[in-house]
Amino acid sequence: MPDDYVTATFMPSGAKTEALMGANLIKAALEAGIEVDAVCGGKGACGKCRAKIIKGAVSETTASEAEHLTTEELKNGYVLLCQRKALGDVVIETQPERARLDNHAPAKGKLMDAALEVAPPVAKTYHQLARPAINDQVADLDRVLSRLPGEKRADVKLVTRLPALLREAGYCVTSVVLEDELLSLEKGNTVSEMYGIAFDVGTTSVAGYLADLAGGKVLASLASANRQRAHGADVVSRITYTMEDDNGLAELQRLIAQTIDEIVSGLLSRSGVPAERVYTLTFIGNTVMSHLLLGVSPVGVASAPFVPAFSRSLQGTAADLGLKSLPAYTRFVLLPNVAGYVGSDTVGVILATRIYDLPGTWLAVDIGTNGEIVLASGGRLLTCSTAAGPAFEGASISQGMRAEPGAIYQVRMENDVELAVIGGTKPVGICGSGLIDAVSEIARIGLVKSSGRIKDPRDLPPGFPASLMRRIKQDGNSYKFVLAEGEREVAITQSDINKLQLGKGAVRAGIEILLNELNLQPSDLDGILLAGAFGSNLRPASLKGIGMLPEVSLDRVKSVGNAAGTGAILALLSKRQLETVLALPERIEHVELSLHGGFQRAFARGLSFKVENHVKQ
Amino acid sequence: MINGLIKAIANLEEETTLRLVREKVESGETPLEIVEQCRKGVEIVGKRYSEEIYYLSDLIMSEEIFRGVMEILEPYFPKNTAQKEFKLIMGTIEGDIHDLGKNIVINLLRSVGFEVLDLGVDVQPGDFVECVRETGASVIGISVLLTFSINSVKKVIKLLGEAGLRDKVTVVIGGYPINERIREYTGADYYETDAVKAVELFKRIIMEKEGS
Ligand code: B12
Ligand code: FES
Repeated sequence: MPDDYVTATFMPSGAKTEALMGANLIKAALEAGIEVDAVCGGKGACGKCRAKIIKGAVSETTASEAEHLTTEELKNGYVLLCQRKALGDVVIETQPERARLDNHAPAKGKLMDAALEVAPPVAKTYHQLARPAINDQVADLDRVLSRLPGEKRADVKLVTRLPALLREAGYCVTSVVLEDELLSLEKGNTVSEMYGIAFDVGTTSVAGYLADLAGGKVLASLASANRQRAHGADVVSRITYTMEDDNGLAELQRLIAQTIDEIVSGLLSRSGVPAERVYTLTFIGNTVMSHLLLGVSPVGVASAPFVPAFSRSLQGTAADLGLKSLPAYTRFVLLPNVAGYVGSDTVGVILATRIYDLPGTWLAVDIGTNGEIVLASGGRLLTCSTAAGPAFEGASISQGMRAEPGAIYQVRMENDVELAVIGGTKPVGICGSGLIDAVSEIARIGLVKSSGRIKDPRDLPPGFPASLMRRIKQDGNSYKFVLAEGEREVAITQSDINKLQLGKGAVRAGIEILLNELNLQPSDLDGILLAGAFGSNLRPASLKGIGMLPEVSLDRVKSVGNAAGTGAILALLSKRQLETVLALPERIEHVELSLHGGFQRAFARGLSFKVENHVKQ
Repeated sequence: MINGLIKAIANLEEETTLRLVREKVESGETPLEIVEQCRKGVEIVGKRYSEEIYYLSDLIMSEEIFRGVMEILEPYFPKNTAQKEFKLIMGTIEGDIHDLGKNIVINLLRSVGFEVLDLGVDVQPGDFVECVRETGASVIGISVLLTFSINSVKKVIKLLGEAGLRDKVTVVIGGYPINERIREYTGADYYETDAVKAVELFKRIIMEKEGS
């Protein structure tokens, strides 16, 4: 290596990369294939890209590091990767590969029944062709095409393989036909080997479901972090990256293709399915992810008037997406989006839950950084999107973390605090579900005013359990509530509550506005469906407890798992379902909240915590 | 003296407020007198907020109530008195539609006696500059919540420079993501993310301007 190159080694995996002298460490980590939590996209604002320098020279501490790391930590070699440059060979320790705990299992039971009529758009047929003879000089291609119903086209690439293939196969071949195209020809009878993969492309993680199209069942599923995360946690920072870096758009497209390739390889090796037998893919995702998947600039979505480049369903080949793990002939369908912030993932939820033709009045809520809400009643189908913010996922919360070992994920309070920690270890932070539980409990036992302000311990009624009261501590001008005491304290601060409040208030406002559009009351709801890898893992009681969901009895709130993913699977397995989903956007009425006159009032109301005093006062 | 209307607004009693306003209109009080009482009510809201008795949701609600009041009074305001001169103009930057924070700040500023021209949301950089020319304003308040729109704030500053107005105009920015680094990046003069401190800041700036 010439002098101006350095080697960066990342522990514990030992992954290495050669980087230019002075290269940014977060870029080096990315090159080495290390997953980094660059929530703010490397701006030094989130403090989530921390790592430890084991050996080697790096650039000076920056002001943003001073904000996010203690002097002690800095002394011990902790850095924010995005803030440092490599000034020689370096060895860096990053967080261990995390266990993904999001629930990516597709919704089971009822939802999947919809796909019972398994009839994929792909057809495979076995042909025993007549061998050519001097009195049968029909060309190879015509010999095949003449056996297929209707007019079919064949790709040049297929034709180049044809002469050898037919002769080797002794003219016994299986054709693979999608609509009017002969996708592939295979030696022998392979009719029963027909596979497809459905993808749910999320901003945070991507899930793939490998399905046996002939048998109509999912054989394997796999989720993986979206590699684009190195360029920010939310869609806005990803769009910003495409604007600030000339290669940004191409890079994000490459990263999502890489993520998909990794998932495909994992699925294939697990199931033993050969790549050549995968014919169709379906994709769902939010509007921005849909754009980035195709390498189309989503810049219009970033700011008002929030106009996407496309919203209709688009189709193409694996090669168009730059996928290396699948044959070029594999076809994909990207399901339709509705608006800048209501994507095909929401359309997938509508399809999977069949909310579009359930009798009665139903609400589906998909909670993530963005909360998408669907209301179905009397044949009408309304959607809106509210900016919930990353608070629900633990980002932007003072001790927030993703659902990884060490995260508090459940909180109960009776006479004292009871915590459940992922991995059963000592708590080091709190993830979204833990935060929502905690705040719901804090509100329930009356530790906050309805405005969200943590009470001065002196204002608590006499007889309030001392074990709880003791946990309220002064924190600057306000108070914090300590969940885990001791050396590594984990607490909920006033500002954490406020951030959660803004997010839940926005979702609640969205719900109320949709109900109001149809002159409905919460009591008219037959049920609320909680969708999403994230949202469906939250306790309905806690969501109600923080006032995000309206007053409905808890037995009407159902978690439906990753319904968006199920939607993608349905569209993969059944042509009818695909047709249904393609026609859904015409029926959907999108309610834009940005300019909605009722938003402010609904939001102000939605912010409050209705405090019920269960603890004796 | 605190009358019923001032109290109703201060206590965020929407129905009482709107009922009292309607009664007052019928009994012949002028819209200006009524607005003045509402202003006092909102001032109390701001005070309670700074004393931490009220919270963000209360500020948002008070702005909502005040807006309801203005809707009732609208037809009674004499026409053609459209004011031409403003010291202070405010708007949400191009590409951004978040206006709750901006509305709160404007509401509080008005409650302590400032005349503020509200340019609304998604305001083009050029329109801020144009408006400075038309009104002679010397202070611009810009609200930004979308990080994506931060560059447009920079553009406002640049356009002010090109128009030769930069020295005369003080630019204050605010909104959820704003911090010192962003202020520096945009070239704005001040930033503030707390509603009450924002009002203090504007007061100080305007007092300094008038002093000099
Ligand atoms: C309510 C809200 C909305 C409402 C806006 C309604 C409205 N009329 O304003 C709705 C639901 C419409 C909305 C839409 C969007 N939103 Co929104 N929204 C929020 C939310 C939850 C709260 C913002 C708010 O009103 N806060 C309360 C006010 C009072 O606070 P504030 O604005 O900061 O103002 C205070 C101070 O900053 C200061 N101040 C404000 N302005 C000024 C000006 C001056 C001069 C001064 C001195 C002071 C000052 O005083 C105020 C009082 O204390 C935030 C989340 C968050 N944590 O902030 C997201 C958030 C701002 N939204 C966001 C986004 C991206 C959007 C969308 C573009 C996309 C989306 N994810 O849905 C859409 C718009 C497109 C669409 N078609 O839907 C992001 C921005 C992320 C980023 N990096 O830029 C946020 C942070 C959430 C997130 N992380 O996803 N949103
Ligand atoms: S601080 Fe480094 S990515 Fe956010």
